[in-house]
Amino acid sequence: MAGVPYTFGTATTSIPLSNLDSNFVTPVTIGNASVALGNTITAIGNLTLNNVTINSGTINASVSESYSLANAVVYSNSSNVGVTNSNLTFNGSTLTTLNLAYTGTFTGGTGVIAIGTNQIYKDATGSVGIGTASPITKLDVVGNINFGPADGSCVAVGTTNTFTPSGGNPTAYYGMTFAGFTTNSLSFSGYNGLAFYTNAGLERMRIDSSGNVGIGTSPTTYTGYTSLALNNATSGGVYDILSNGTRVAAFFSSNVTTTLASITSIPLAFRTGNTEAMRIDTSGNVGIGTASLTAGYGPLQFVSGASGSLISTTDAGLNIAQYNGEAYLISYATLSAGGLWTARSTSSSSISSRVGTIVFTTNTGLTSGSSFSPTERMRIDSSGNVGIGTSSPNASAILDAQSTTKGVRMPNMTTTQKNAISSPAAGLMVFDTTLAKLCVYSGSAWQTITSV
Amino acid sequence: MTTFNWQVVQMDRLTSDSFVITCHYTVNAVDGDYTASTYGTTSYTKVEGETYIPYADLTEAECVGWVQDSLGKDTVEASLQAQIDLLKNPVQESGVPW
Repeated sequence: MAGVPYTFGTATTSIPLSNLDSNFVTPVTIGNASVALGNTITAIGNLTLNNVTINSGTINASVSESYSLANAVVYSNSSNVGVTNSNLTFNGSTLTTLNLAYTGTFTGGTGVIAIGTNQIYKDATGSVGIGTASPITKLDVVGNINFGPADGSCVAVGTTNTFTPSGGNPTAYYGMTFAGFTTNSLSFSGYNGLAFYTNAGLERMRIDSSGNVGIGTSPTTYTGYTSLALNNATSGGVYDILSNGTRVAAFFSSNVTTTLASITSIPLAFRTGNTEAMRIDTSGNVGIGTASLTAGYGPLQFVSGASGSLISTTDAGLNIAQYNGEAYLISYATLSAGGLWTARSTSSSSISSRVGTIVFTTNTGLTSGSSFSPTERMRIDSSGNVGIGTSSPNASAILDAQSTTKGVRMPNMTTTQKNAISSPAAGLMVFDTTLAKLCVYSGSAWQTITSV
Repeated sequence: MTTFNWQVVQMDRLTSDSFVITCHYTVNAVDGDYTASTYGTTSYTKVEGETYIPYADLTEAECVGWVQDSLGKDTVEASLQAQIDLLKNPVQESGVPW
């Protein structure tokens, strides 16, 4: 029989292929047949089965052999029913290609499909695993997912591909969640940036290729900076901070005001070098260098024990200082924490309060930046006595003026001007330039001090 | 040659009289293989006594005109053109030496 081509046409009976011996190498075509494969055939050559039903049996492939099943149905038994537990097995170490050249619908039972070890898997419930044989969701992929043309190892979404949300209608904008698990982060990568959309396809947020973020607007760009821009057509943006669901702080700007706000009743603190430098307490009092503000001490408080200049203009034209418990109002000079005075102009002056005493100083002939000690000119002591040219006005004198080079000059006026003083008080003293006399009012008339 | 495509993709309006208070816009610039885009919003306030085009009669061209008047058409297009110029002739690049 060797070398004779055999074609089995329409057959009504089973053909015992087991009768074909190993020398039967001529291609065999069985068309429109119902074939009952009996024993295992291990070594036939090229076998083409057209429009056949294979009821049972096993086809074993050998080297260089190929099998084509066209329009074939395989059953596990001769009754053509009971597909459950049916098996179609392709054996053979060289079975490298399985071509199911169908153009219709590939159907089957509800059983498991397992291709490769942890490569492609469908369980009996219809869940599909890629990279896993234990899908925990309808589609469980262990590994990266690549959409569209890949240009790297990252997850990529091609220009024509989209993630289709549940329901299969991308235009419906169903919610969709991506989640990183345990220690693994969730990454999105866009070579030229990322854009995020919400309802109606409106772009809401964008991260540009430089890492700048824009919410409600395209990111703003500043060379050397990374920016976060928030935009709203009506008022602007709000940077909101919540604590366990409660809004506690906000930074926002309207068209007219920029606000840094502590929403709940908590202080607002400012840090430099991660150390608190200033705070505003819930009453609106400002503390500089201190977090402990005292009620009743005023709306601006400095750290206790601070000395030197506390408030000053940039040219030190006005300077408020504290040193050794004494308060200074200084003009054109500063007072450092060590009690050192520094001139900011060619002259300076100060008013200081020294434990109940008010001291007035003036200085001239200074050089800007030079150190000096203020020169006292006048003081009002705690008793209310005024000393000029003395730091210790006599207790008996309400006004104590002392000098070895200057005197005290009374107001100079003519007799007419003197007499025009309305209701002069007793003891009032003037120098009458008409009379060239020092005059004192007795209580009823002007008297001259005749020896002068 | 860069072409600029202005679009108003969404508008917010008052329910009482359909006065448009916000336009959401996008501007896409294309020069060959280089593209740049921007998006944002512009707001509008109703002035009593003024007459307005009925909402149903508004066209996208009219609304795009509002946005362009608000933002400055030339300013926006110049900004996008600058982005495209940077794409064409980048002044910085990224990478690691290893």
